[in-house]
Amino acid sequence: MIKIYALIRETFLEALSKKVFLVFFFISTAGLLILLAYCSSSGFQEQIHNLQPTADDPLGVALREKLRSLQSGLSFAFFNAALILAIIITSDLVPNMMTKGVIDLLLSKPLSRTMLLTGKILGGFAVVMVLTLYFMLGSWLIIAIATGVWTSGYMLSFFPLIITFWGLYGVLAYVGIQSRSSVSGMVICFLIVYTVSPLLFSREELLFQSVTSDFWRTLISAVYHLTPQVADMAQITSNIVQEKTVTNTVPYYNSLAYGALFFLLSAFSFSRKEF
Amino acid sequence: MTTCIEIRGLSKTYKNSKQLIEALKPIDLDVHQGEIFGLLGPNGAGKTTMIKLMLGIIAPTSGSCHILGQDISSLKAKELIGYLPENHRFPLYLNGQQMLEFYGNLGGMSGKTLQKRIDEVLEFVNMTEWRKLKIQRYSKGMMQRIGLAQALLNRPHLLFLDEPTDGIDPVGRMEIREILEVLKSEGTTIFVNSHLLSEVELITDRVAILRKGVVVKSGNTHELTQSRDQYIITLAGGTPPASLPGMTTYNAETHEIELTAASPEALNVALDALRQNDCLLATLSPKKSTLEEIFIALMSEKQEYLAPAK
Ligand SMILES: Nc1ncnc2c1ncn2[C@@H]1O[C@H](COP(=O)(O)OP(=O)(O)OP(=O)(O)O)[C@@H](O)[C@H]1O
Ligand SMILES: [Mg+2]
Repeated sequence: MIKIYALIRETFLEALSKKVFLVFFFISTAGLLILLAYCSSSGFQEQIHNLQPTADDPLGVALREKLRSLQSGLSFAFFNAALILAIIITSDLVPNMMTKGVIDLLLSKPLSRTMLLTGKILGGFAVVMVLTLYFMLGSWLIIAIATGVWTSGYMLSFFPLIITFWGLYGVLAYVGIQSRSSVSGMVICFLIVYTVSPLLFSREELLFQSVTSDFWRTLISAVYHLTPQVADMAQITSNIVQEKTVTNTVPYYNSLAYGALFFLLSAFSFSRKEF
Repeated sequence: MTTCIEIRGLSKTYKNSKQLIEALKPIDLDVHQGEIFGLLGPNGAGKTTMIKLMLGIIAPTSGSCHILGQDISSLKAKELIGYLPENHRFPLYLNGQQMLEFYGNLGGMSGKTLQKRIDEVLEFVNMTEWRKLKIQRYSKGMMQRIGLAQALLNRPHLLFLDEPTDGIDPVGRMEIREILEVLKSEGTTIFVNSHLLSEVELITDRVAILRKGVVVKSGNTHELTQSRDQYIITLAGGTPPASLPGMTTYNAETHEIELTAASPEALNVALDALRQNDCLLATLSPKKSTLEEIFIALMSEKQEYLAPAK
């Protein structure tokens, strides 16, 4: 237990020592400050005042609407920004561990390779969780205090974000172990997040315009089901924030399965690597 | 003598995308408990490969290796050893103390026991003063000493050092030698890789010389370097007679005489002859061939040194 804890702590310190971590932290803090300034501006306060429950609107539906649009805008921006930064921060953790002079010493210690890899990956995961929670909790509190309305959807959207990252992180770790570099994994994850997944997500509007053959359409749909459904997760996040019911839960399982599969592959590949 | 490392038929062939690199041909080797064993060889001879095999970092192509009776692939064996890799890269963002805590934890130590042990090893390698300094700021010598401290945390029975004095200045090297002497006196077995031969000569009990993955010579360091019956005399004045008994060469510039004398009597006959010729003796010493000479000769495949290893 002490061994895995030491690995997580050390990975945390490694991430902490990086510039990207500071960048992430500063961007989050700047975002929070801007939000704070906006929420305490007299214009916003006045709007809130005007939207308070009235005889016509006893439940304060108008105010909730206003909040939802603010929060869903914020969470959409944050979902994308957090994924980029989380991928950058964690991309080199595994490859760094595998460099000559680092891995030799780690492997000479009485701990299994699986434990070594698990500790490293959990460490990276912990870093991302902490950074994400920092911004989400901060912005949630600011909005709640400024408006006096406490919503649950915004905080709940933490889960789809983290689950999306879990799936991508598996791919990142596996590619990192195979290529021993951080770049390939990062490029692949960015492609998934910003090209492959959005294209496949809106395949009916975008791709099927030009692809008419049934064979190709089936193939594209198959690929959609077999790749990480990041764009679906982004939509789920937005639905959760707006307190709409989420009907399609497949993307959750897709992400969880992706992570699990690639972490297993990673552990297998790592246990047979030579250094 | 108890065996500490028992190597039987151990070999390693690296498989790259296209070629096979036979880094180590099947080797048998025993390292005794409590000795300092040196593995020498030029770059690429397979020294690091050998250590990595013994640590279970890479899988052998054939053969086996046991450390104090434990198979090297077992975690139990790893609890008995300490290792300082070549070109190590410790986490630069940690300070010495944190780095030792990290590796101590990985070795299964924690809490007060670990803190106490960290104090001890820091004191031992003379790094107490620098424990709070970021490793990034360490000099090479300090890096090596903290690395040694790391390897000693678990009170290893067997210590593997890969080029421990590489890039270290003479004073630093002496400090490391002293540390190793103390460890040896406490009963730690030390396996050291090096190509700094004068260094190895000073500390090792036995050596093996590796060349292209084959042990070309091994034996007791003292016996290897001592060439019997040969002496070197330097003169402070005078010229030796050409008929000096046993003289093999005389260098007029350095005033050095090399001579062979089979017995103390024969040596004294030569000394008497020198004095009778008004020669002023400055020094007299037995001739040793250095490991370096043996090494270079082996690498250029001179036959005289290729006598079967003892
Ligand atoms: N991971 C690897 N994959 C392929 N070949 C390797 C690998 N590691 C070492 N080699 C090759 O095996 C041979 C022995 O290398 P090794 O590092 O054991 O030598 P060495 O004696 O430690 O050299 P040096 O004094 O330079 O440290 C070299 O030819 C090297 O290129
Ligand atoms: Mg080497």
